[in-house]
Amino acid sequence: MIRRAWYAAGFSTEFDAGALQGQVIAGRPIVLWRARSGEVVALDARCAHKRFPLWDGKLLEGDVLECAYHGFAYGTDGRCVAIPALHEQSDRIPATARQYKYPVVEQDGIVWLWPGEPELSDPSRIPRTPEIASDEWETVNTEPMHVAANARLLIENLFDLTHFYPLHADNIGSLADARVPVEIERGDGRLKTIRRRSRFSLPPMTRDRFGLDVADQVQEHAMVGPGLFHVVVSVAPPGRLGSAEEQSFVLYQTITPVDEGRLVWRRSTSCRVGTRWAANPDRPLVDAIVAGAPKVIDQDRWAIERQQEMFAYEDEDYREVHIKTDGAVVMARRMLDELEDAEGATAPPQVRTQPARRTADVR
Amino acid sequence: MAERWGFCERCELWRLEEWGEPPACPVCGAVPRPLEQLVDGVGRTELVLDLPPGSELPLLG
Repeated sequence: MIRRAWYAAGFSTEFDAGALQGQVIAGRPIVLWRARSGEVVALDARCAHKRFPLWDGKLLEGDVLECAYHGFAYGTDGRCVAIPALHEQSDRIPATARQYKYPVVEQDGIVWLWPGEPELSDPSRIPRTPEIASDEWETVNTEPMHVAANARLLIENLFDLTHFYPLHADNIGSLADARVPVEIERGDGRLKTIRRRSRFSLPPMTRDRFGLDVADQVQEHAMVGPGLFHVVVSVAPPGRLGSAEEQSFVLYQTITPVDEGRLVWRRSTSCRVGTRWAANPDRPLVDAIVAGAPKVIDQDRWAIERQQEMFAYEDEDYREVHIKTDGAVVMARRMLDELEDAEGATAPPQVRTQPARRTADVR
Repeated sequence: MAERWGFCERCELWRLEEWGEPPACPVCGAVPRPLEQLVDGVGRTELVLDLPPGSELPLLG
């Protein structure tokens, strides 16, 4: 599991002052809350005394977190400030009674957390998501979605547009989506696919959103590190991309691994303020984009959870077949392998680069 | 020579390889298609596939 990465602990709106949250991020149990100062605090959730989960504790006056078992109490810096069993005058609080405090940065509407070694955290590497917190964009965020699958399976799903048929055949799926030409770019830890279509007939769902029968479209999907996926879709009448007639939406998807078999998925969809839903012009375009999402999300979740279930069986001589259109998926897998190798970590073999199936393997 | 991504249609395999000049699969010798182009540290690969007429229509929608 990759720990040297910034992962979303949530959208800013998920953190109310004084409300405790318990999360597991990249295998680390963490208790989080927004302090009165506005800072989001994240501490190791295992009480230094007896490992009791601090997310079952309570916040006292002055942003002091009290463990529910023996009452060890911790400040926002992680230091223990009170132990009820010690005599106030004659006993001293051990200096070692201290919770590790995780690096947290709140930026552009997302609370980011670094579960790796703190000395390697670099806030300047946190990806920007300017649309989420901008007044010039209308944004709809999902609730956190808990998925019983390895985080890499979702990354692969998001790059893998060839699954639109048959998985999404009853909504966004088309053969064109399965076979559209794709440009793949990689560099500086990022991987991006670009799909351009000219003068194509929009399917009914998209026609309803944008009010166009025939359009040019550019669709970019980018992995911005292991914790963030960025999608931009731009549509315009033929020859008018880049003009004032262009309509677009921006979709950020945060992928936060819980452990090797679970992840938390969040989506944030943004459209420019003032853009309208063509078929329902009293509503913003962002409502149209979001309205079509739940079914697609459920189908993707269903698929990767079913894949994960098959990890229970030994691979033995099983090998995956990679076809030409799996290019971006195979590249993403290799890039994530390299990140993992650099920190001496290992993912389950099923999601790492594997020897491909050869004719000799086919029985 | 830098490593590039390429797909060997004979091996049916994506590889990150030094493909040589002219480019050839280091295992079977076939010409990779497609082969990534490296420019200023950014690699670009283009997959072009023929679309049958009407393929933009939803299948079951």
